[in-house]
Amino acid sequence: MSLLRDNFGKKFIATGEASPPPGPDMTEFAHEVAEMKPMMDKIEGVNVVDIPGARVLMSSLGASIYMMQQGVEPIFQMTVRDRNMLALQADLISAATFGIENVLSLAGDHPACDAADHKGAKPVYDLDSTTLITTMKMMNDGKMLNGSDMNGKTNFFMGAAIGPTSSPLDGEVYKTKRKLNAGADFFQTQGIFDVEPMQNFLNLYDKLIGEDIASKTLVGIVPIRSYGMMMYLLSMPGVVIKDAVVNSVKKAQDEQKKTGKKGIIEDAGIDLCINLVDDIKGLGMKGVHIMPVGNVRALKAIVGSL
Amino acid sequence: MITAQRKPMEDIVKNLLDKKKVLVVGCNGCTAFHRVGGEKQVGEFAKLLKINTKLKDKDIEIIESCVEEQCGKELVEDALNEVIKGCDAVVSLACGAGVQQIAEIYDTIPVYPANDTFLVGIENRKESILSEVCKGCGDCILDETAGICPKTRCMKGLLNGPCAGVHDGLCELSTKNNKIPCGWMEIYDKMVRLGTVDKLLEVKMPNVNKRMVQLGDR
Repeated sequence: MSLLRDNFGKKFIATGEASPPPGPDMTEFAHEVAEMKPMMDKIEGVNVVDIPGARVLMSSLGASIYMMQQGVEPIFQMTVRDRNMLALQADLISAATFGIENVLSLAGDHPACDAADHKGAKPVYDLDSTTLITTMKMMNDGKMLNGSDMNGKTNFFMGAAIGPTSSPLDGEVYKTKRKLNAGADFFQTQGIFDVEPMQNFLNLYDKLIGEDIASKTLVGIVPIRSYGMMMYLLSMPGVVIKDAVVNSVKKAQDEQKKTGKKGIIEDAGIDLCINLVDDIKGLGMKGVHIMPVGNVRALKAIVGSL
Repeated sequence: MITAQRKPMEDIVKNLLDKKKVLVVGCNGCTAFHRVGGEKQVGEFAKLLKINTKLKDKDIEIIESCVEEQCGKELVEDALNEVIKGCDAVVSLACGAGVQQIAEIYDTIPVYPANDTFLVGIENRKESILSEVCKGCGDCILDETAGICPKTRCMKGLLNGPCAGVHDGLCELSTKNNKIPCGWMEIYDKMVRLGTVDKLLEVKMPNVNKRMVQLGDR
């Protein structure tokens, strides 16, 4: 059963995101999940990231299962970077067995990207984010990727990503339509920090494909908590933060230093997101995917403002 | 054509510290074209070995030679059978195939590569350098991708790209000094010029049931 599937299109959706722990100590992650549990009447799920920026964490599958067991609905992010087509299917079967239905299909940041912490790791990319959706669709029909029968059917609600800051955008538009053709049920965008990239994407999608995509899409937003966090985000592939936003964070940092008060940057980050949500609603999008990066207070504040 | 570039000198020298007579062998094939393996480069490389700070006091004799194509067994034997006598190491300025050909023929003498070998490339795609364009995968799809190989020219080898990491038409692995064009944007642009961009809406599946083994003996 997927709350995300049940509510999609019926209300303005909000999803959260959590990072699995960077080692075997679950204390912080468990605390974060426990804090999110009472929010499950306001959010439709929590994304569990899969080694983002190619920096090693506990596996997304393991953390998703833990979350499921705690009563928090996971959106299991799955990249095709680290597993071949056998291992991807094996993990999808494991996910289905533990009741996980929401899966977000991603290519995954390359292990040699700036943010990565094992730059010599061998990437796999046996499938890509489109053919992983095809694979899940086949599994929902009771088939393996090779066409053979499984001993049952999965029930995946299949998500795919949109990168509205890709440039040029044309390729991203065609790829999005191709993912839709492959069977994607919904889309989540990478984090944006002002509404312009989303507006540009929708305009170009309409021009080149001539269809609505907003009604299937949740827009990614990130509450910035510190100047350092913003700089790290900028090292991630596909993240673009325009100067006006960078300057407003700098301004908040200066004020925080000057006054010695804590939380000024965090509050500014939350306000930026709340204002952005209004713009996103104005575009006819179906919801927001909030990436709080451990900042549950920000998640609560943004969800509370919806 | 095979592409290759010179290894850092310290990676080559570390193999030669205990040697007495080293044969430096060039190749007039692909690596000569790429200016890391021909006769001229053999001379330059031998000079660099002679003046290397870690080797110059060690009294190592350096012998120079060049083979027409190091991947050819008879060509190697004709060129090296005499000159290799008494040598206790070979440094090959060829590609990985040349290194392995010499190692197979002279199996009691260690052979060290002077180059890092890349795969199959073409000249002058960008900025007068050889660019890798083919992985020799044995499963060619160039008929479907406007004559540009995504398995090679997309850094992730995606069959359905581009990924969201493309920025200003460049791959997410680009740096200030190494601008890597996004292979999928090149495919897209070419398809626009050919009037076949609608092909991008088709999902390209991998060959799930084809045994991906290479031709020839291992």
